[in-house]
Amino acid sequence: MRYITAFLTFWYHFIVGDDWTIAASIAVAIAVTFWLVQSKIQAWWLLPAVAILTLGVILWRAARAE
Amino acid sequence: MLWQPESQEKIDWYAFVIAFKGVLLEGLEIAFIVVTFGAEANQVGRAAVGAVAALVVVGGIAFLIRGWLSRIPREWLRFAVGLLLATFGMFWAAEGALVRWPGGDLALLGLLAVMAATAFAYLALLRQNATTNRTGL
Repeated sequence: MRYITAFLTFWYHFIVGDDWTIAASIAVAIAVTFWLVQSKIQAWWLLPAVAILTLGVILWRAARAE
Repeated sequence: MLWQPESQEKIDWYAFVIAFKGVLLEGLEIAFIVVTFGAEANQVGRAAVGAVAALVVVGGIAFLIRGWLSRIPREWLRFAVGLLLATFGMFWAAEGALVRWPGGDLALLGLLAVMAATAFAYLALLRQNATTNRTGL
């Protein structure tokens, strides 16, 4: 059981990382990007915009926590 | 502050495990990328040869300039690696969502420039915030 937990923990840290909200934001952004592309709407700007906003929010949260 | 090389007489096992984990993770990422690109083009063999050639070239360059590399502050290395990973990650994630980047692969350079500008802007804001908190202004 310990090995399974360690294995799953490894993949969690590998894919999700320290803050699950960042991973969730990017996952949603990718899904919305895909949906926009399927709807024939230019969506190349969405992922960078979400990444920049998410980075700003987590930095702001970290700075406030200090 | 510049990093000072430590004595190499004994192995720091904690640092060794951290470095090993980092190399393993990055190696795994490279394997994923090579297999993905190779499979998409139906050229896994050529992709593997390209990956090995890249490993030899990058490893060789790193070995040649190891003295200079060891003097770069660790934080700046992390900063640069973070920028590159974020740029490539975003580029490929968007391509995975079937996005057509304006300018094709050259969009990578624009994306890198935008991410670098953003990172430096956030850095300036954080420094300003830290100064304000310290001086109470």
